[in-house]
Amino acid sequence: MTQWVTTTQLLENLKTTHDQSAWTEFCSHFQPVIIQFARKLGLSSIEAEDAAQETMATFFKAFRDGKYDPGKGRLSNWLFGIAKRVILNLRGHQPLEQLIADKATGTSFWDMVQDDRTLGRTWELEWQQMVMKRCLEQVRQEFDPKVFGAFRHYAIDQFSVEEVCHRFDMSRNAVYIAKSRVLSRLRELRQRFE
Amino acid sequence: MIHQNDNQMKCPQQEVIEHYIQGQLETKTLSEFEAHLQACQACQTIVAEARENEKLLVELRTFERTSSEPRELGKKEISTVDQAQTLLGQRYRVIRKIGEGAAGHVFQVADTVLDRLVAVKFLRKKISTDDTNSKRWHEARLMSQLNHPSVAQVYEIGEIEEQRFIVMEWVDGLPLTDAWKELPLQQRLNIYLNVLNAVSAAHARGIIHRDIKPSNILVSSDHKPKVLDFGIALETQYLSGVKQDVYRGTPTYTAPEQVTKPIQIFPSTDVFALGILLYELLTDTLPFPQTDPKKLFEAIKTKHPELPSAIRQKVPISLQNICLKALEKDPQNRYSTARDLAEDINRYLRGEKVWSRPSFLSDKIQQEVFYHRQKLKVWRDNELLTEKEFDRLENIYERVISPPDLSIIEARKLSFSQVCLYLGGWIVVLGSFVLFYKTWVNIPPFWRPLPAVAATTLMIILGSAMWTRSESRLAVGFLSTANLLVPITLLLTLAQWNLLSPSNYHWGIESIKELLMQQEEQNVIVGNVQLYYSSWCWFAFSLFFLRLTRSSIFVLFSIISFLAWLTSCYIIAGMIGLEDKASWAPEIIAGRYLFPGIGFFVLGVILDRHKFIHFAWPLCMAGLALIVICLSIIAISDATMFGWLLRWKPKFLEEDESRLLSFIFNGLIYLGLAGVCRSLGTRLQRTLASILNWLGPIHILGTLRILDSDNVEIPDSHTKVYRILLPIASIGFVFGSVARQMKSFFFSGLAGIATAVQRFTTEGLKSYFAWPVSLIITGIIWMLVSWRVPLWRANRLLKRGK
Repeated sequence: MTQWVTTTQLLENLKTTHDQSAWTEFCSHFQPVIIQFARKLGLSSIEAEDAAQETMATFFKAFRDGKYDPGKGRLSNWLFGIAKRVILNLRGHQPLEQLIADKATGTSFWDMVQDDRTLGRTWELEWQQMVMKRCLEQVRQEFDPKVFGAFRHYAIDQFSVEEVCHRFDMSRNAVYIAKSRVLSRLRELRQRFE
Repeated sequence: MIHQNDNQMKCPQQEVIEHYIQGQLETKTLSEFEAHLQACQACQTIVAEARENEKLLVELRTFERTSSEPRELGKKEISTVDQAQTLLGQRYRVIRKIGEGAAGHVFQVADTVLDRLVAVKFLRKKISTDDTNSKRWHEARLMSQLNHPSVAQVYEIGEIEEQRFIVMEWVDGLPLTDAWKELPLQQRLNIYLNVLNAVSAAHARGIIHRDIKPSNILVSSDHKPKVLDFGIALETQYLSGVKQDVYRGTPTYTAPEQVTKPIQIFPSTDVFALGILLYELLTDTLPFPQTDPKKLFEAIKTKHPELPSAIRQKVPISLQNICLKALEKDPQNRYSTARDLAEDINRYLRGEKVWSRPSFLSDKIQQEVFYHRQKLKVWRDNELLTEKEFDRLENIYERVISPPDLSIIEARKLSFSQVCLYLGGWIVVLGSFVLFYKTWVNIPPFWRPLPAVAATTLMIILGSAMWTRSESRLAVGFLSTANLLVPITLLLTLAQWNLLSPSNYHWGIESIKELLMQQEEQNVIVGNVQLYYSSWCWFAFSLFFLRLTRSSIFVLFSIISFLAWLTSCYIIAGMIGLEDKASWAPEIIAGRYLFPGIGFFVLGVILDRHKFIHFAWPLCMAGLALIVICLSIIAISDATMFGWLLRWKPKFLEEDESRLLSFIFNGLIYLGLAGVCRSLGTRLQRTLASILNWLGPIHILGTLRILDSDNVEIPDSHTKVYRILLPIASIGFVFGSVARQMKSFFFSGLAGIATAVQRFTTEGLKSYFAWPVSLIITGIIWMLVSWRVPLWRANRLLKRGK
């Protein structure tokens, strides 16, 4: 598991360290977001990976040239701008074979009107999911497995408190405290990440 | 965790705060806690944090639901290799995930017992929790029903832990468009035909695939395609029951009716997707390359794709036409099933002519023709085109924009089945003719015509039924047989049942009783009135069938029946085979022909002005024919034209002379009528005018020549007048042709002059050598005069200008 880092740290590392590791770490954080985003826009997995790589490369070049100023906007927005351009450009040469976001029903295509706002929402969702995933993973590492397990079962899976108490051999209050502590930490991590 | 505070109440446990946040505190505890909260800063912070945490929790739960990382089997879909492996157990070794379709996730799996590769598709929960078995196993059922070499086979279906899956044939291949990338046209077409056969098989079983696209058709290395993914296929028998207000399918391969509400699904919906594949086959591009979905659907609904031949020059036109027909916007205009499409492709591969014409092309042609015709009118007005040339070009353009029906062309082709059809028809006709030709003494007269009547009725009914069922190829066969049977059956019936026969029909003249070689006693006797009505009906039927089918065979029938009718008119009028001329009066003839003739003619003119040209044409022609017949009958009748019109005949005219002069009078009528027609100015009227413009001078000049012949008994003084009149009238016609470019006047004038010269030579001037010499000199002078004429005219104009 990678060390917990914030975007600012990631960008800082990218600026100060000139070896491959900083770059790899940076990519490991954001590439999956772009891949997921591209997949949702109907690109195949290979195309989506291509798109992600190209986005990262473009970002890196711009970043090295000093075009990205964290003071002016979120990293997320900056990456979104590049990813959108890359994907639309890539899709321009592709048949619109699978534009359906939700393949299960095929209906949501109607909602996938490709205006910037919808695209933005899709991106934001992916981004948030990435952040959430990272934070959740970090929290899991930080807490005692028993505490985290109780939190997961009670808060997320919504088992009854008695069941969780029985399973983890904890008092009711301990379960509630576990929930509160884990969520507070999650919130803190999320705020710090961006 | 317990908080201590200066206040009287101890800070509550986390449990109380949790319940407070959830709104689950009892009233008493709630009021106590709220009182504490007011005073306790620490608890306020804790509660505020807890509220924030709750918000995050909501997000977290959403994230967990949408996250692709499932935690526990049975609760989520099978979407990873591990999950699939856990579920399937030892027999199957899951190798990799291949993808996900509309109905579920698909894995490549090795069947370790049968030692073969298979594809396993886990059905989505939404689909697999449907009630009935047929719905639960919809896709598997459809695929196993098909059992076609080009459709992936279903080996097994199964259900473990409420998770349903289908074990299918493993197809190791590339998506269609990737597979044929490097192949020549012929091989591409062979693969495509196999796909068509698979889809045809589905259509034949009432299954509509609805999601035909390259990635659902995998092509193996030996170029054998397999159609997959019947996940959203529909059965036509359930079409009415299926809720069809949702769009399903792949945008690029979507037919217009799938995105036009109310959504409709036909087998031709698949044909549209197949048309797109054919377009890709021919051009390697998509017909609707729009990437924006809104624009894409708009294009699918309204825009015509670019012509494949405009993208690739070598695209055969037949294939282009087939492709465009498959891409018709209106499902009615498309091939109705994949089979019809396959038939045309096969036709192309066999080197036969493909007749399909996309309506879009004819739209385009019609537009072009419209512009051309506008130009033609300008050219005519600027005298770059003569009226005749204009009419001829208009005719050609009309043929271009309304080519004969495809089936009519089929009917014309002598295929085996068509030959059988026509042969059968001919035998029926011959049978009916034998019925007519002989009198069958053993059979009572009432029954004699019935077989022919039955045959004719049957032919008409079958023909009409075929026509309404669009089996035009057969319809033409039956209707043309019926058309031949009509006059025979009518004559037979009229003769056998003794209807309209001379004995009980008072206005008939002496009938031509032995018209059809009736030497033997047993033969049928046909009256001329019966002949007249039969051919009249025949003509009417031919015209009706011609209008209905637009088949050229009925043009021929119409002409023949028209001639038959015309002949029977002459027979009934006594002009052919007439023995007793005295028994009819001009009034009767006029009543029988002239007034109906004028009626037809006027009706034709009216219809023509209202653009019912197809009806106007036969009416005007028939009207004109009746008028000419009638006027001719009146002219040769005993009561002369003058007598009939004025009840007065100049005393100085001989009877023959008066009769012949009537023809001149008729000629003048034709010329007047031509003038009227010309002034009406439509194409049909111009055609009629040109016919009349021939009839007029021929009547006038011909009669003048006959009046000056030795066979006619008129006084010499009169003959001389006519002899002088002939060249004068001829020259008059020659110069009369100038005004309206009437070639008929010009040539008949020249012919008139020739006969006049011949007459002068034989009668008065046969011994004078100066006569031919003076003719030659006069001719030369005329030619020289023609050289100077433009100069003189110019001078005159100049003088007038001064």
